[in-house]
Order: sequence, then C-alpha cells, then structure tokens
Amino acid sequence: MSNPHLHLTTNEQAILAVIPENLRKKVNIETETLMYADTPQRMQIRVKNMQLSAPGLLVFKKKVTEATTVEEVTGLLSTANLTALSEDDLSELYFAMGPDGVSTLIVQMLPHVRSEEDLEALISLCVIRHSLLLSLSPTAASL
Amino acid sequence: MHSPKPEVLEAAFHDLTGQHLKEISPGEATVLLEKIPDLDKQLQSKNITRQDLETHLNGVQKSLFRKILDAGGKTVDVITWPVRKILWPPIKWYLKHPIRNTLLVALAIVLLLYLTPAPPGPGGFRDDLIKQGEEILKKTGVPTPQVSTEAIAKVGATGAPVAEEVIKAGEQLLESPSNILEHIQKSKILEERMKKLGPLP
Repeated sequence: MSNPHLHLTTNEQAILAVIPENLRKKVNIETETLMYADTPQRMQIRVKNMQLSAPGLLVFKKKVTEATTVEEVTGLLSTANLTALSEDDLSELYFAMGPDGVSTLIVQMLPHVRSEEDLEALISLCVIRHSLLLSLSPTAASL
Repeated sequence: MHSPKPEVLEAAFHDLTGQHLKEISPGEATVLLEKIPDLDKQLQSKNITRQDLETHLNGVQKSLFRKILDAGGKTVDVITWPVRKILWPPIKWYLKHPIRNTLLVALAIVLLLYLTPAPPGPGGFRDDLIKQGEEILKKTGVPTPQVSTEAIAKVGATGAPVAEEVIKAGEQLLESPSNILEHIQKSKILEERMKKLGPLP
C-alpha cells in the first residue's frame, strides 16, 4: 500500500524539515505547482453565493441580522458552535475562503505537526487546497 | 424574477468571449469576463445581469470543486483514512491545539462576510479588516517588523488570513487568541457594519 500524497509548495517543503522523520516517511511529498490569483471581488462572489444548510447556522444568521448592539453580536459569535458543521457546510466555507486562505492555515499548521493525527489534518487541508486549485486550473474543463 | 437558464447564459458567454464555457475552466471564464470593459452594458442588451453570469460560473466551479474533493477523499480513503475524516480533522486538530481558534476565527470571518451586504465599491469589508488589523496591532504593541501592515495588506485579499495574521501577532503578546477575537468583535468597524445590516430578506 503506497503512502498518501502531500501536495506542498516549495516554500512549504522547506518548513517540512521540522516534522519528525518517522512522520515524514509516511507521506509522498509532491510539489504543488498549481496557482491561482484570487481577488477581493472573486471572494465576494464566492461568499455571496455560499449556501449553508445547518439549522444552527441559519439560526445564527437570523440572530446576527436581528441583533441591535455590538455586544449582542459579540455574545453570539463567541458562543457559535462552528465545530458542528456538516461536510457540505464546511466545504462551502472552504470554497468561500479560497486557496489562499487554506494555504495560510497549512503554513501555520506545518511546524506543529507532531503526531499521526496532526499529519492526517495536514493531508486533509492539502487535499482541500489541491481540489480548490484543480477546480480553477485550465485543465478543469476536461475533468 | 427568475434567473436566465444555463444555456442562455452559456450562449451569452460565447457571444461575448468567443469561447465555450464547457471547454474552459470556470476560473479562466472569470478572468475572461473581467477583461471585458463594458460587460454590464453588453449583458444588458441580452437581458442578463453580471450577477446572473457570475452566480452561474460560481455554481459550476463549486460543483467541480466538490467533485474533485470527493474523488480525492476516496483516494485517501482507499489508502488509509475514511472519507468522513477528510473535512473533519482540521476542526478536531485546532480544538486540541494551542492555536485552535485560528481556523474557527477564519471561518467566523467568512461567515461575517456572508452576513454583511456586499459593499458598493472595491475593497469594502476587506479594507475594514485591514484597518482593524492595524488598530489591533497598535493596541497589542506588536513591533511592525514582526507583522507589518504591508504583510497584512498582502494577505488581506482573502479576508480570512487577515484574522490569522492578527491572531499570530496577538498570540505573541497576549498568549490568548480569544482576546484578539474579543477585540475584533468589539471593534468600531463592526459596529458600523451592524448599522448597515438590513432586515432579513
């Protein structure tokens, strides 16, 4: 059984050296060559077209739009349980965030990978980013 | 008012660019559209709005992303992990990690962008976030060489990374990401945005 692939940019691969060797051996490093120049306007369109379905999120949205003070929003935001999001809602959020946002998370996560679970998380984010980049690449039309 | 049918939008796109939507990626299509100087006017003559076309392209790209993500998930599943874990581990990871709030704040900001009406011109909420980042940096006293305004502006294009830069800076001094979140939430800018929030559709 082959190791899972980890798509990292050359800059990210430079950080990879800090990960314990036994963990590094569990993945096949591939260079992420796909790039996308995001813009605020494109992000606005993605955000505008987000379709979130979790009842909790819809309630959250309703409460925020009905709030009249900053304190109310502060309270709502600090108690919002974003960990209960479904895969569909999470993918909507990652899609809206775009490859740049996910890249920043990857860079911050990389130096802290110490266990198989951490590695699993890193692989997941890389799969998400690679999927985002692939969907935007010129070859996407043939997929 | 109903949105035009996909075939109408695709025909309009072909008229405008000479390209078939099915033969290029949504990313390329977006770039092509952005290059048309009088796009709104041309679309108007076809009884189509820019929003109709952008929403259609966005939907195509999102479907493509899900298709690719699902395929990638299955590949990983075959090798080691259940598909279910593809999207969940980042959340689990951050919950048990000292910087766990980073992703949650990033997601919260995307949600805030979602809840905030689109600004009339370029910049808008993104610029607000950048300004807010600068204010927070001043409050925390982080020396600019560590997290410069330029660095924030550079990553600010996507919104979410701004929060991350702010948290990173805050962690160094306050050792508590939640304090930074509190700053963001209590910001004057958010208050102003709140006033602009209209009633529920």
